[in-house]
Amino acid sequence: MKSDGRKDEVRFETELDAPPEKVWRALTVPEYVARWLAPADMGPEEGGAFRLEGEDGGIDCRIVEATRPHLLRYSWREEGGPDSLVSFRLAATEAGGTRLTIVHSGLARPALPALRIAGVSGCRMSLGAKRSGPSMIAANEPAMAMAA
Amino acid sequence: MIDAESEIFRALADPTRRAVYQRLAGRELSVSELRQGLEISQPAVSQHLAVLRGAGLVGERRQGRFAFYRIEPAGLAPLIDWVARYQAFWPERVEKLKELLKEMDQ
Repeated sequence: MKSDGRKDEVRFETELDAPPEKVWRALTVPEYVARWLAPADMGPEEGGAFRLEGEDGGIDCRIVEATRPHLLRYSWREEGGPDSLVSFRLAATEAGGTRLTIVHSGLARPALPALRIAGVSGCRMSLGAKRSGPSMIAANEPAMAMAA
Repeated sequence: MIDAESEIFRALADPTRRAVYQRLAGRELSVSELRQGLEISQPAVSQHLAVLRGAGLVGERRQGRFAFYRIEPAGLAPLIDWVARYQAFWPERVEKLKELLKEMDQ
């Protein structure tokens, strides 16, 4: 998924002082996952479902892709939330470390068109705020809408 | 996830409701105006509007026996906050991951 400024994607990149194989274990072995993310009953098999015990409730996950030690991808569904997708990309650096890229996408997908509309409406709202006071103008607006 | 957010997701998960919401972009419309171009009955439109209003996404203004509907731009704020929360979440977790990597055996 490209990062083109859409608001439903969070991307984070960092360099870690450990080789990909070690980072992979930290991302997939339950006792390690519990120490940096949340208690989880995960296994590294593709298609495997697991549940993260988050601080604000459970998060249901399913492994979509697991290519040791390069790419780990799982679905992420918070209670009441949309189906989102988290991917961890691991690339070895020359210094013997790992460049880790986390992309969490689909965070607001059902609401994406709405977010775009809100950008437009937000402008209208601020324009409206500037000419606050003359409520006569506002009272005329529906007549215009009906004529249209 | 807090209730306001899940309500927004629920409200916008329905394609017809999303279409109703999109038709209100940039203008205020009555129920009958809203219905034009959508293949649904007036009661169905009203029902979708009720859900959208319940989620704080759409506002209603009454004038005499007419009611007009418009988008509430502030209605999506909880959702934007939610995305922002994840923007903070992953860097925080990665800090913990770095600590863990220091403690792990090679």
